[in-house]
Amino acid sequence: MIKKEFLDYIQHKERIFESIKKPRMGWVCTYTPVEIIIAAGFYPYRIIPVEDPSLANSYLDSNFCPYVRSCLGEALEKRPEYADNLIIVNSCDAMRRLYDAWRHYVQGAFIYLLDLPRDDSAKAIKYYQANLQLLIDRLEEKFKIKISEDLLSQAILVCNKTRKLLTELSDLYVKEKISLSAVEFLQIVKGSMIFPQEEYNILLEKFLKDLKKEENILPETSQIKNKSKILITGTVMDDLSMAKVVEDYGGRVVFVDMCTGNRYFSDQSKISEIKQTNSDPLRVLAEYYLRKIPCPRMMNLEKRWEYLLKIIKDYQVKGVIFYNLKFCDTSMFELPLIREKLQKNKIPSLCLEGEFASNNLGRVKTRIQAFLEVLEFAR
Amino acid sequence: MLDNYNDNFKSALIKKIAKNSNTYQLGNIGSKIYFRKSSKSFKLWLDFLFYQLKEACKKRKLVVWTNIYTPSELLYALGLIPIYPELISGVLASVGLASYFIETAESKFYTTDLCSFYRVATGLVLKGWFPEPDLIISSSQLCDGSTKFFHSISKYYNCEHYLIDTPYYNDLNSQKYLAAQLKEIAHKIDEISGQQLNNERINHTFNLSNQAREYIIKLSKFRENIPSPLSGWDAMAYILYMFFSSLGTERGLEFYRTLYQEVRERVDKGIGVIKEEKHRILWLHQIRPYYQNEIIQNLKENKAVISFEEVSYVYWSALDPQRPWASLAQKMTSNFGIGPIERRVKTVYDLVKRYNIDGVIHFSQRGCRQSCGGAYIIKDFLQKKGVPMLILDGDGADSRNYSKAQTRTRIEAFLEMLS
Ligand code: SF4
Ligand code: SF4
Repeated sequence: MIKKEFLDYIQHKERIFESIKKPRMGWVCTYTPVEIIIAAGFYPYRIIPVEDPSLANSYLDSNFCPYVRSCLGEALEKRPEYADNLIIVNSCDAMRRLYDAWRHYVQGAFIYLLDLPRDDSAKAIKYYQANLQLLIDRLEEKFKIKISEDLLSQAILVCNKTRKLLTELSDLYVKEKISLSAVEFLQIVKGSMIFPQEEYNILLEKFLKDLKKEENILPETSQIKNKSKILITGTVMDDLSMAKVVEDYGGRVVFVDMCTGNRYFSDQSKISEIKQTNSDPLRVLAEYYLRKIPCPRMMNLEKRWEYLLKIIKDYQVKGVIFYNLKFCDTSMFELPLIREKLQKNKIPSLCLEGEFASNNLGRVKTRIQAFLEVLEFAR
Repeated sequence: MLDNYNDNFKSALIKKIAKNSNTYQLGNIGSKIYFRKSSKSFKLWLDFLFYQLKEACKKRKLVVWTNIYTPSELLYALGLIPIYPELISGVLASVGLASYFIETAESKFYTTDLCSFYRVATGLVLKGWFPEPDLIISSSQLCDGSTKFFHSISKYYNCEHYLIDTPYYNDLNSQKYLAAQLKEIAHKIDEISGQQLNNERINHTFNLSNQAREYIIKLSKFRENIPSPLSGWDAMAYILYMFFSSLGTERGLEFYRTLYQEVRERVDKGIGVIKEEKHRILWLHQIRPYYQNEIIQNLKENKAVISFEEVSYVYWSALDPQRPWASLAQKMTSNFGIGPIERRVKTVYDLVKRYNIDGVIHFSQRGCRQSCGGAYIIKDFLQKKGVPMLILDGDGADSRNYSKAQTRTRIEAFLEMLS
């Protein structure tokens, strides 16, 4: 499958919606165990909104996370289509309020809030596992289904495969062995969250195979060494235009530490352990989700810093761009400390705030350009 | 160069003074003279405030920084000295010092979009003007800002942070998770302090808290009276300070006993907060603006009084010293602010009926996601029940976000609608 065709396909989600017969189950935060949704016979669909958040104005305060406000805005705009099933995770104040507003003003058949602990201690894993069981019980009860361990293990395999394919793609992308822009790369990652996973795996696999064909591999050039490698970090990136700006000004985005970027697929659930130790798939899931690369929302600054530092070293990152959604308390509190650590390690950083309304994208462009010039100069 | 030297010298001097227990001793004496005409309960609060700061400086016991929904009984039973940065921020705002700390925090990338109380507190940390913590215990019950604030300052002070991760639901599984955390924290602290947590101490602390709770409930009953005997404006200031920080202490009990007597006297004599009470208001959100502002005058001029405020509502049952962890966990999960918004809506509506409320004001503190997020749903519900509600945007500690004229217009328009 050639690139153009693939990218074109994944950018038209309406077409897919028509052809999918399975019922949909929306989700919003990457701590949602999509494996359970798949095992329950649903098609998991991440809400990555494009609608104007101002539609949510009469339901949520304007000083709220724009991602959450847009989710609500989109659901209100396309109400009948969205009013079906949704799992929200108790990740932050904004999500909790989204859960309230959704139930009251969007409504739907099954709207569930899954509680999420804030660290990966043994107690927390046990608690999260119990919460996953609760979710399963509710699904079984509501839809008169049975979610067996077998179904769960199979679903884990499906999701692992997606993560593995995306990792492969990211390796090729980082090493610039293929011609793929940052925006294209992020679009493919995004596709994996909004398309039915089994079908997407097949498409992605074909696409990768084609990419790896000799004629598609780019010759090694010295050009890549000369670009400033950039790490973008934050929570959610709803607007991909920033990645484009970085590349337009000669930078190279090598890692997107966002739940809509690399953080989404960088680890894998240890399904093999299930077979070896006969352990409970729910336990495996609980461990996986709580131990994966933490979102700023988790209470684990050291772990986040260590992992960022590792990426910086592994990918020879020259500069870090913080992209924080406005009003996101968890990332706003984290930024000064991480920034200080970066300074100590002599890594320049730039702080940007979403939401970029189109009228101030210009200003953002100038700042990114200036930042890249400084990096260039420092080399 | 010399200026810089002077600044450093000044700041070092201030730090030294601020961390000296004698400073607080003097502060106490000075304020007693200054506030000699105030009520006895107010003076008891001052005593308590200075006493705790003084003790924190002496460092004879472990000093713990904590937040308001961490049950204070846990801390007192463990023999700790708690410091409440949010409450202190409110006090600093009321004496006009908040902006100084806010500017400090903002210069270090703590942006204006964050809750102003935590910006003040962050400024305090950065300036180093305060008795430092030996450890930090906070609960995630309040909001994300609070949770992250405490986590980050534990990095500044390089001390342990015990987070009490508060579950969303109020079911058995959640309570178990919470109780297990409380127990674990207690044991860890026992190890650090080398003391043995004994039943006697738990008994003593819980009993003090339960007795104070009884007084608070009786006070709440008094406040059903027309005219309102106690102003919500005070209830959200020094009384609120005691509500969150003193339960489980002798001083806390004494405070509430005294306040009870004061309010009782007013009820007996039929004295109200204002002469002619026309509108009874219920105030939503834990806080109000603490810097100089005219809101309470605006209300008064229009014959409106804050008869009750949601933060003073006693939502928990008496503590049971026989099951300390389960009982504290229950206190925490009973909070109507956690979980689906319906819990809060129900409580608010109950309070509206119980206190004969004419109108509800939701103070939407800029930077507060936790409380303001639900305001529209509450308003919608109350409207359907025929209860008017005003969403009043503002800020609790950052006076730059207060517009005198605008606030007055909104309050007046609202009260006019009530008549
Ligand atoms: S960006 Fe921040 S506020 Fe928004 S959903 Fe994520 S964690 Fe919550
Ligand atoms: S005002 Fe809101 S954000 Fe600030 S501490 Fe209180 S609950 Fe948290």
